[in-house]
Amino acid sequence: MAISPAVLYASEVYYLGGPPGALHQLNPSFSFPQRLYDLVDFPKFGQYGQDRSGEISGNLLEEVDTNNVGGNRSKSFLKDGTESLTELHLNLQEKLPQDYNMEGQLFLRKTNDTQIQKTRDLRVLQGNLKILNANNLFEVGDFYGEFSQFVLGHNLEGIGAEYVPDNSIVKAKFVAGRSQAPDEGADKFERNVVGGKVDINPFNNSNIFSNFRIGAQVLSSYDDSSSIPTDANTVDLHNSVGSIDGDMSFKKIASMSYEVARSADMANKFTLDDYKYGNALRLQPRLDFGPLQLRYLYYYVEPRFYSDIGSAAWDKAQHQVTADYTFNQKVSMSATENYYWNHLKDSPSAFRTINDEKDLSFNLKPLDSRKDFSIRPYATYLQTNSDDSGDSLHSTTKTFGFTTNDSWGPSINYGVKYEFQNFISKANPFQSVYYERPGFNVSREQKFFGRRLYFSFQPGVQIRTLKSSNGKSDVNFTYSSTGQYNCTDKLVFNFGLNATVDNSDLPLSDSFGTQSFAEFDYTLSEKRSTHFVVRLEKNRYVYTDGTQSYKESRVIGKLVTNF
Amino acid sequence: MMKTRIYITFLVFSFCIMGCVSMNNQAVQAPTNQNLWDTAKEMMGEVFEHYQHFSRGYFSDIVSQDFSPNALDFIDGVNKRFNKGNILEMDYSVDQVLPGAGKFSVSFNWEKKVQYYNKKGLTLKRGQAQFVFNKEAGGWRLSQVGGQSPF
Repeated sequence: MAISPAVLYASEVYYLGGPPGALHQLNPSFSFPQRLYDLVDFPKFGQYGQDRSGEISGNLLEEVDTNNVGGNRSKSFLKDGTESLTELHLNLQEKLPQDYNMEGQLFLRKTNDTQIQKTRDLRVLQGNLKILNANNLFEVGDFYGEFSQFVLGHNLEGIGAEYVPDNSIVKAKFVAGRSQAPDEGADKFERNVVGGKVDINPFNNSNIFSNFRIGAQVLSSYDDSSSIPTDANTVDLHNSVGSIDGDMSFKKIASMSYEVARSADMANKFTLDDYKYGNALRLQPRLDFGPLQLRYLYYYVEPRFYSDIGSAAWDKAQHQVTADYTFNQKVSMSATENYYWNHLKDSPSAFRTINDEKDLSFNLKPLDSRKDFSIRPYATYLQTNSDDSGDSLHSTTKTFGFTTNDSWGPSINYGVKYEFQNFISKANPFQSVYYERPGFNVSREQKFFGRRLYFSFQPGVQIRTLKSSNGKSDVNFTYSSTGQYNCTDKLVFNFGLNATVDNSDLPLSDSFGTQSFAEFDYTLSEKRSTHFVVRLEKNRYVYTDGTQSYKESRVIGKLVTNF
Repeated sequence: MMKTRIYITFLVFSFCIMGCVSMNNQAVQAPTNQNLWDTAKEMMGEVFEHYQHFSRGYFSDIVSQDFSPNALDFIDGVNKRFNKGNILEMDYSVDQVLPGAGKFSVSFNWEKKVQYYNKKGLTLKRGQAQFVFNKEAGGWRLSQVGGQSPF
């Protein structure tokens, strides 16, 4: 999906080192009454130039649903009756003295729909405030905390700060907050987080390196055992991770990312267990020869390594090599060898599992006369072995498939896909199975009584055949269609139908389901994207033996607007 | 009584908003934060559409090469679990969308209705998860899955 640069910068402008020049401008001076007036000057919606000191904007959703569920109600996510939903997004922008800016966001929700939210009170689901200029960022509330891969990549609630001095080789970041709120129902303590990161770029104007960064970070997560009453299921975790990471790019051809980390983890302090220490390493060199790009990954994470809010697959060693080659504008390919195993030193696994995977795909745009025509064949071969007696996991999975997309004239797009997958278990041949997945989609846009009509169809089949089933298969047929008709300039009619037919290998387990909707969307204001929507839904699920069958019908009224 | 209150609130809100809307005739642009929420919901829809009608070819296209810990292992895992049954329904409700440098994270609740091949009847599952999307040359790509994975 293509996203316009404006949207991208809109999300990145809060961060230091964003678009050049975006945050270096000195703000004009504004009087206090002017600031108050500008904030609530709603008729100037969306006009936030240099002459305006600040702005409050947002989005409001007001929805009422009436549900009717019949049959086996335990198989429906819906509940009988009327439910309401109110969602309010508030955005604040304010120019502060010098070159500082303030950005704030608030997301509030109130609903009695337990499918969306367990509690009926007004919940602040997201709130944050940032004060920043080109060198400093201070934020409080909810934010995405990110250090290195092994250490931190998680939403946090608390405070964060970032400092990027002018003409300096050092950058610093700091976070303190919580990654988990106390939850008595789920037996979870509040989990606090504190950490810091320093990055050094010693060769900023080097003739050899285009980028040379070394980072060091440390982060600690620890439960607050006084945050909820303790019972047998509550776990008091204490986890710390420290790492050195970096990127090194030469002016030409070669670059490398790396990280080495060590963790200290106590899974549950109540058990009076000792800290367990583990190490992790990743090395990712890359060679770029123009049409040929080579990437290698070495990954080694000890079984005792654990990062609570970082990202790591523990008890794993891996070599992965990928070669991407562009033959010309019409043909490119990607080939990967992926070899990994577990049962490293101190592993809790009873035996070692070794996976050897080969992946190959081509991207083809072969026809000059049909620029939109593309075809992508792919194949994967995965072999799994284990070192226990009898090689109990010995199996191979072979996959072959292709996807193709094309347009026919200016108004029709279509695509075809096919996939064949064969799983062969050498140790347990009765588990061997193969799948076939053909599919097709077509969409068309045309005039109908002088107005725009868009519709699409997407039928698909999945056939699963167990080799021990004497030719019997599970056949799953899906059909999906959606459409949109512009009845007038302001009224749009949306409609859709999904159908699923399951012909099961198990006795008395066939089923048939439909999900359909019709929706009228009336635009009250294009400028503020104000819409009034009425939607009718009807879902049905019929199971052969009758015990699972249910029906759902819904009427939804919705008003949504920006302000 | 409760229903009446809800409808009255709904109507009052509707009139207030329509009144506000009619006041203004100036050129506009959508609020920044709303753009990111719209993008997030669009990407969530795309991920679950490709999951529900799974084929390795299409699903691979929305996963970042820099997926953490590993893209190929993640796709293998999703493929393996998908092969256990048919996904009849996949619903989600977004709680948070938080921007990062060239990425954004989405926290959400999910519900899934599955018919497993080796089990009679429907199985309903629920959970809370977090997706992270990276901006890449071809668009946004899924780069991390945290919490209780919906796959």
